[in-house]
Amino acid sequence: MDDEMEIWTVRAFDDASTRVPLPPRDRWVPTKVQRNQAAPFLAAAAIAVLIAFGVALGLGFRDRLVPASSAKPIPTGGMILLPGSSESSTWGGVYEHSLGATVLRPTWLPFAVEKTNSSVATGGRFINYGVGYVTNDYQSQLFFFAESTEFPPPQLGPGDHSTDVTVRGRDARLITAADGRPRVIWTENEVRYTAQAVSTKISATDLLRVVESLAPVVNTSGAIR
Amino acid sequence: MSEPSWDDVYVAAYPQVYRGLVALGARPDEAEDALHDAFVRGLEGADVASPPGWLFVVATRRWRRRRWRDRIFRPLAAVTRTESAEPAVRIDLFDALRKLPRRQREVLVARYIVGLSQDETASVLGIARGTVAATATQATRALRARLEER
Repeated sequence: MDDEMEIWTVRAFDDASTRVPLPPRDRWVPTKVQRNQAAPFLAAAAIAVLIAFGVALGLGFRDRLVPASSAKPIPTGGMILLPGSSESSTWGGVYEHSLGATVLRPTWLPFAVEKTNSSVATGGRFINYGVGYVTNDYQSQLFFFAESTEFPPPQLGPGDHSTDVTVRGRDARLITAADGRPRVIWTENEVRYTAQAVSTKISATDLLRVVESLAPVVNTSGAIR
Repeated sequence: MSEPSWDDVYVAAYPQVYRGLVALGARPDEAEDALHDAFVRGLEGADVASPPGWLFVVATRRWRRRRWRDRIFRPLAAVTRTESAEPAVRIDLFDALRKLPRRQREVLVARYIVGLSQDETASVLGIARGTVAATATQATRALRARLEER
């Protein structure tokens, strides 16, 4: 690279970089981190518990429509749970990273749960989680999302039809996609919740019933998040 | 003089690594999350000989993995986050940069935003020093050509 090109490159990237605003400095370092040396052992213990849950499920433990209040959250030590972990442990993982927001878990579903996926991401002061329900044929059925209202609200997609409804005593939007899949979006305590049917087999009526069944996840000492 | 803590070296490297991630195409919240993940990873043991380079590589991997993970939830993401594919910061240079091949993008960002030397760039990206120089030249020519087309 000759001098002229080097100078152009340095200046161009300097100019462009300085136009990228940085987050407030108090958000640079994550506030909730594990600094203890026992983390690997705790993670191994959590994996062992998850395997035990998996074995229990495989041995015919079929009643998974457990009230949320009976869930025993299991610290995961990480930001994501692997597909196939139990429903309770998935919600437990979300609970662990909820940053004080209420985590709402369904107590009624229109299908038998075989697997749950979760994606838990917290960005400093923002909650942002997603939990997916997948049947044993690997078909996604439902997603539950929650995020801070500081995130921009979701946009309607092409062909979406929106209807005002009331869920959990609050104003909500029931949005039906062009292919008939419904989703419900509402806000509670500055957290925007979304329940989304991924499968076309789930009707709007069933989805609204799922939403009405949502209950806060609590820990074993009764603390709600 | 005592050695700087991981917190100190992380904070010192944060601005250029954050901006490097955004230049590569990460949304601001994705860049923040990726850096948080890298910070936690660094607590377990980081190459503090070159914190910016180490952070850049680890955070970039975390960001790409997050993008991959989000695809698992694509059915919902496609509906509820129509803006997610669009970077929040629109800068002509970065728009043009994002159209270059991945290796060229990474070399330019590592060299001119994160501020790594040729040797450091070669080390963190796992390529030869000569390849860094050749790639940077090639990428810069392509970048200028794209910008001049506008």
